[in-house]
Amino acid sequence: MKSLPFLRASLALRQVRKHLPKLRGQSSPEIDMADVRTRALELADDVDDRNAVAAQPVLFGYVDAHIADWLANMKTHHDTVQAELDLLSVRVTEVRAFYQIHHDDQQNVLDDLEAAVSHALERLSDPDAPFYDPEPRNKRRGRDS
Amino acid sequence: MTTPANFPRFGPLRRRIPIHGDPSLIAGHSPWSTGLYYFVLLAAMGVDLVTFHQVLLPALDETEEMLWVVVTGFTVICIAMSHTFGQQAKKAVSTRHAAGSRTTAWVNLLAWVALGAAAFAFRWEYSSLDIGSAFVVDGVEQTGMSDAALHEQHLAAWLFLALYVGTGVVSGGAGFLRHQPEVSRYNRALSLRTKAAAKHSRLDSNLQGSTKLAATVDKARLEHTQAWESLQVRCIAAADRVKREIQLKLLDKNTGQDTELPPAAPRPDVPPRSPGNPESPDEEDELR
Repeated sequence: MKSLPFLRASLALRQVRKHLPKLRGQSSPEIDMADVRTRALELADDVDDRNAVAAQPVLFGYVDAHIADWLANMKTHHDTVQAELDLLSVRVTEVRAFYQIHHDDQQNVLDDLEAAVSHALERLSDPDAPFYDPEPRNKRRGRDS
Repeated sequence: MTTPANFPRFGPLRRRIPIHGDPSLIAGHSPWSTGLYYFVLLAAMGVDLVTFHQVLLPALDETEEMLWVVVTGFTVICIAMSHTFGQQAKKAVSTRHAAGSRTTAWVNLLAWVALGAAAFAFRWEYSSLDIGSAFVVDGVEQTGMSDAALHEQHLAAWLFLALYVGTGVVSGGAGFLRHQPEVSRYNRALSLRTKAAAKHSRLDSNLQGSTKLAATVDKARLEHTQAWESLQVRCIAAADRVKREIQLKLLDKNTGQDTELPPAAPRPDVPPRSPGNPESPDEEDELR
């Protein structure tokens, strides 16, 4: 039975695992140039032979405008996906910090209990083995060791 | 347990000698021995239950249920006292750093003796005073028991005392002989350590999983940024392809005229870029 913070962390990770593949699939949209190509070539066909020189930058501008329009729309989509990915990163970071702190604390507990086991075994083999009062944790906090 | 021969066995230093124990004790007793141990304790408790019921039946004017509650309580108390006496006596005799164990042992022993003595005295006196027959001799009512009945009640009281002492000795002896504080302390520490290690492993697993997931999310963010940059390059390439086709088409129309078509003009507008775009204008020109 998990306590509420652990349950919340687990659910957050599950949501991240669920949403991440969907977001990764939205990173590479394909531009469809068929329509603009067809339209530009039709326009080029309609150009008179005498105006061919003058029509070239106009047709190039037509294509560039289409590309710029499509990229502007994609920029909005890109920023939305980027924001969702940033949010996932924040969630994972906070869950990771939560687990890290509990992991370090449990490491301390485990170290103390390892000492307790070895000391109990020592006392069993030699009841005269000395033992020392354990140092309180609040006196040990902030030290390197 | 073995003791070195060169240490004094008597005197004030007797409790200071090193006693080297047997670590194999942590394996514990066999299941059969443990079962026998609890069977003996339960048998002693059953004997005390019957004897206390015999004592308290004439003493308390209560319902049968309340009587059994009192009898059970007395039984548990006397068994617990004698058992605790045995355990604490073992601590006081054979180990170090068991402060107060001797006092606890004596207090339990005295309370156990007082309980038994009171029950014995009650059974002895109450039986001889109250349970008897009344008869009339020469117009005078005679109250009392016959010598045989009195003797029988006294024997019952002695029997109670013998059973009480016997069960107490069994219970206390079991506590004295079986109590291994170091073994139970080791087993407790080992059990706690095992639970802590299991919790630590779960936390470690969660931490590793979240670390990997964080790396995956960071990688996805980087890929997303790079995908935007490559998308811009692909758009430029696609636009250039279409421009070349337009240029070819216009060149066909211009065939036969002297003037040449100018090269593809630079794009009038630059598509929006992300800040980290490594694409340089020179590379764009090359692509064009």
